[in-house]
Amino acid sequence: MTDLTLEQPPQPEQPPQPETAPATGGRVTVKANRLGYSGQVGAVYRVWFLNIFLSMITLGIYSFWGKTRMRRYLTGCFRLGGDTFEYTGTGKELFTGFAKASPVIILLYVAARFLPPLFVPVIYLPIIYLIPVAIFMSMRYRLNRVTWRGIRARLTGSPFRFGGFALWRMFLNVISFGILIPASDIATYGYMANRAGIGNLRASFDGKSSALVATHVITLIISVAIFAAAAGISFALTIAAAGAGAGGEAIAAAASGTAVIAFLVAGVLVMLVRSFYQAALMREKMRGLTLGSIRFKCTATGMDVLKLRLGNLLLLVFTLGLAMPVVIQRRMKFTAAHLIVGGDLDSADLMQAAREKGAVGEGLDDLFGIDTDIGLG
Amino acid sequence: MALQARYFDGMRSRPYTVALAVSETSMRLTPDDGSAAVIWKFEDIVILDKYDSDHPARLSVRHTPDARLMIESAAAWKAVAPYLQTAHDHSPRLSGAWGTLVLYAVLAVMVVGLAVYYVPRYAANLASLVPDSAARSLGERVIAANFDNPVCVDEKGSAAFAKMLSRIGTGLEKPLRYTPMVVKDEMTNAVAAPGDYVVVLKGLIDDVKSPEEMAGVVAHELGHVHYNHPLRGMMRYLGFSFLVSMMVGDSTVLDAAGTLSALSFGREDEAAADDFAIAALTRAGLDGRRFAEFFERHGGFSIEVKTPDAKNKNAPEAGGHKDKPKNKDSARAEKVMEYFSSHPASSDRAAKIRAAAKPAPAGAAPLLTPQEWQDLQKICSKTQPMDAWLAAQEGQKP
Repeated sequence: MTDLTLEQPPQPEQPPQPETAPATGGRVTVKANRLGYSGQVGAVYRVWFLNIFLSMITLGIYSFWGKTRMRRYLTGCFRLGGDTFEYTGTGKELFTGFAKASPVIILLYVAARFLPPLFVPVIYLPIIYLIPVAIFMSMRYRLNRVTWRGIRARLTGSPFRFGGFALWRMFLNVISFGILIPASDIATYGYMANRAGIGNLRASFDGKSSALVATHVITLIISVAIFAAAAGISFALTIAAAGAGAGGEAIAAAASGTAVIAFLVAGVLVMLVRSFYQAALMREKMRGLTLGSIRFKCTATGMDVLKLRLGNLLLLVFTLGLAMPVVIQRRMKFTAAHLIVGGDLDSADLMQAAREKGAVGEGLDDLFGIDTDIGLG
Repeated sequence: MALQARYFDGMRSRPYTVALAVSETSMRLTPDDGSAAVIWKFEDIVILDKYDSDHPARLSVRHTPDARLMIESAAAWKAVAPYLQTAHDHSPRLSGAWGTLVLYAVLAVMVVGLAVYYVPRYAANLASLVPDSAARSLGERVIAANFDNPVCVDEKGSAAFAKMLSRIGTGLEKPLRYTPMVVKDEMTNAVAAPGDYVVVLKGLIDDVKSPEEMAGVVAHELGHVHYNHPLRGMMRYLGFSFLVSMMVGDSTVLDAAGTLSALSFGREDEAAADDFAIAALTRAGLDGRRFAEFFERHGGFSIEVKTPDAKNKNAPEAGGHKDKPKNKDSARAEKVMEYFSSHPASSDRAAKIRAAAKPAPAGAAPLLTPQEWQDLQKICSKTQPMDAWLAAQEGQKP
C-alpha cells in the first residue's frame, strides 16, 4: 500500500508548481498539486443577484440558465497544474432535462394530493428511490460536462440501477440501526467512483469503511443522546404543563415552543457532531480514489468541517439567506484548501474518450431540491 | 513580437505552448516543440470566455470543439481580440455590472408587483375548471384541518335543521347542491368550504336569538356556495402561493391551504352573499330583519377586519376559552371577532342589510316551531367523529 506524503506547506499563490517532496522512510512520494481557486465573492454576488432577478422576471424559467452561469463561473475558477477547469453544460440542457422529468414530478404531486390517505405511504417509496436516481443523474450530467486541459471527465452507468443499489443500502442502514451507514456511504461512493473517469483514465476506488467505524459510532451515540435530551426536555415541560392546572395553558404554549427550540438546537448540534464523521468520510473517499497514477488526499479535519458548517449556518440564518454567495465562496475555498492531487500531471498523458451519449440534463434533482456538489464542500 | 498562448489539441491533455501569428482572416498556432502548426480561421473561432485579470481567455474552434486555446496574458489578448469580430461569441453575455443588476431588480419588483395584482384575479377564474371530486377532497382537508370536533347528528335536531334549510331552499331561484353540517365548536361562526360544504358551528346556534337569525347567516353561506366563493378564494390564494413557490423553488404550497385564511373572502364577495341571503329570505317568506339584527346585536361595525392568520387557531385551543373567567362584554367581543375575522365587515353592511330586508308577509308559516328550535339547539346531544362523518359523505354525494 503506497501512501501519499505531502509535506509542502500550503501554496496559496498560483499557479502552483508541482514540487517533489523529500522521500520519507519507505513511503513512495509523489508530486503534490494544490487545487487553486480564484473566485471573487463580488463576482459570485453579481451572478447570484442576476440569477435571482432574472428568475423573477421570467417566473423561474431563467433559473436553469442561471444555474449554468453560476456553475460555469465557479468551475472556471478552479485550477490544477496551472490550468483551469471548464464547465460546458448549457441552460437549454438543464431546461430540457427538467421538462423531461416534469411528468414524473406532476404525477407524484397529483398522486400525493388526490389519493386516499391510506395510499399516501405508497408514494414515499418511489420518492425515496428517485432521490438517489436524481443524485446520480445530476452527477453524471455534471461530470460529463467538466473538462480539464480539453479532456472531458465522465460518469457512466444507469441512474436507475444506482437508485436500486442506494435503496438497498438505505434498507440495510435502517435494519442495522445505523451501524452500516459507513459501509453504505463507502459502497455508494465506490459505485459512482468506479464508473467515473477522465479521458481514457478510469477512476477506481478501494476505500474501506473500517477507518470510519469508530468515528461513526461515537458521533452516532452522542447524536442519539442529544436527541434524547431534547425529547426529555419536551416531555418534562409537557408533564409540568399538565400538572399546573389553572394556569396550564400559558405553560403548555411555552412548553411546545421550548420543545420546538430544543429539537432545532438538537438538530444543529447533531449536524456539528457529525462533522467529524463527514470529515473522516471525505478523507477516506479521497484516500481510496485513484485515477491512473494519480492519487488524492483530503486534509480536512472534523474541526475544519465543523467550522465550515457552523459558519455557513450562522451566515445564512443571520442574513436571512443574503449571504448565500459568501457561503458558496466558503465552500469552494474549503474544497481548494483541503484537496491535494498527488502525481505528475504533465506525464499523465490523458487521451480524449468518445463523447457520452444520452446523458441529458438533470431534471429530477429540481424536484427534490438536490444540489449535488462535485468535490468536497 | 511573439505572442504566446497555451494550447490543448482536444485529443490529449498535454499542453503546448504556441506562438500566435495573426493574419487578415486567420491565426496560426505554432507549437514550440516543432510539431505541426494549426490554422484557426477567425470565422470558425468560438469565444468561450473573454480575458480578465483573474482568468485566461478561452477559445475553441468549430471543427475541433474539444480543442482549447488559453490566452493568458493581457498583451496577447489585446493583440488578438480586434480580429475576433467574426468569431462566435459564447462568453457569458449578460452583464453582471451593478448598474445592470439594479435595472433587473427594478424590473423584477415590477413583474412581481403585477403578478401579485393580476394572478389572484385570473387564478380565481380557473375555479370552474376544478372537478367536483377534487374540490370536495380539498374541502374535506380544510374542514378536517380546522375542526377536530365531532359533527352533531341528533335526529330531531337534524330534522329541524333540514326543515330550516328546505325553507331557505324555497327562496332560491334554482336548487343548490351542498352538504350542510353542524360542528360541535364554541366559535360563533359559519363557514362555506370548497366542495359545497356549509359548516355551521354550534356556537352560532347558541348565540342567535331566533331561528330566523340563524337562517339569515346560513343563507349568507349558501350565497358563498352559489357563487363558488370558497374555491375561487382558495384559487386566488393558491395562485399567488403557486407563483411564489415557483420562483422560490418550493413545493409546499397546499400545506398552507389548510387554514381558514384561505377561506376568507373579499368585501365584494361578502356583499354578494348578503344580497343573495336577503333575496332568498324574502322569497322564502322569512323576516330578513332578523338577519340584520344578528349584525346589529354584535354592535360596533367599526370593527377592523382582523387578519385571519392572527385568529387561525385550532378548535381545541378555541375551546379552552371557557377556562378563563372574563366579563360578558369581552367574551361577546371575542365572539364577534370570531365571526368577522373570516367575514370582513364594513361599517355600512348592517345598514345595507337593514334597508334591503323585508318583514315576513302576514300569515307566513313560522320557520320552526318552538319545539323544533329547541331540538335544533340540542343537535349536539349526539355526535359522530369528524373523520367518520366525512367518510360517510363519500358514499352519498349530493
